[in-house]
Amino acid sequence: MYDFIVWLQNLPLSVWLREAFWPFPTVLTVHVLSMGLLSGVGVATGLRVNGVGGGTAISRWTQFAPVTWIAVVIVVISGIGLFLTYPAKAATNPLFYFKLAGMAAALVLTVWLNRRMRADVDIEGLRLAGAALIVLWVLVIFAGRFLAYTYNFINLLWYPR
Amino acid sequence: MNAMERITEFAKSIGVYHLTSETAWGWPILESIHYVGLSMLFGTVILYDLRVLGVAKSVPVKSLHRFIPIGVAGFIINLVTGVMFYISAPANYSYSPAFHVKVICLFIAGANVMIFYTFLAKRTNAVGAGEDAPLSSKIAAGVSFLAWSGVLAGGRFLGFFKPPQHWCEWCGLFS
Repeated sequence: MYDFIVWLQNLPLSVWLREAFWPFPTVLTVHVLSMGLLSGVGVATGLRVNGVGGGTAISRWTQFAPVTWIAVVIVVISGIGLFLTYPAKAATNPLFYFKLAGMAAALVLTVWLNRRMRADVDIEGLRLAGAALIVLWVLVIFAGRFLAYTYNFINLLWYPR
Repeated sequence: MNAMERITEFAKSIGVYHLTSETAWGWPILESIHYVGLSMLFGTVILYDLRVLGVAKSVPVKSLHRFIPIGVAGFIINLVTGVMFYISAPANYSYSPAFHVKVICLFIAGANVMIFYTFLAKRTNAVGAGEDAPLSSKIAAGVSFLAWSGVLAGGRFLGFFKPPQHWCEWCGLFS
């Protein structure tokens, strides 16, 4: 695993992302735009099943699902770009795995919610899931932001070589 | 004392500087809150813009307009946290081209909001399920999408543009 990280870090793409001026901030910008869309639509969905913006059948809201999935694709691709720029920095930080787990949970919940919404079930049964989705996205955002501040606290000792 | 120092002195006098710059986790926590605000603003406003542009037409525009207060709340959160960042380290922002782009995009987005609510909101929110929004509304939605994206991009580039003060030809005017 350690050797793999070193190998990643020395890939020409990784070196380029790190050392040229424009690539890294550009990938970060793409990541934050898609993250804003993904988590923002998630927060709106969570609010919708809690009664905000009523008056329209919830099954119609699932028409916005493609927006979520396009945002997921862009978030993942740009996220891989960010990981490739500084692989050791992310891979040695437990918070990085917390973020990935939170995002996976949020996406599973989104699929489940979309399926229930498409069936036009009563929103009473979806309130908790909607609230959980909002909490998950907030946690993922905090974890992502804190990645930029916690890497230098990691002493590498816990990391399997 | 120049303008930048006076701003920092003000931040110190009201305790903001202590919170952002003299605590271990103040700045990262405020930044995370700024990102949650961004998500609230961007998610709801872009969803509205996309509907006006023709995505998910079976949802009437009025239902999406009910989410706008969430976006406004996100904007207020970000205005407050953003001003806290600015007054704590004004020189990092004032001389940064990325910040200038961000502020210009903010003004464009703001002007677009005013034009929209003065001339277009009533007609746009009356667009029902399956109906197409008028071209003028679509243009406003497109401007909104691009301007808010520019605000985010300018913010994201801030950390990478920290040019020395003498790069900024007009900044001496304020000192």
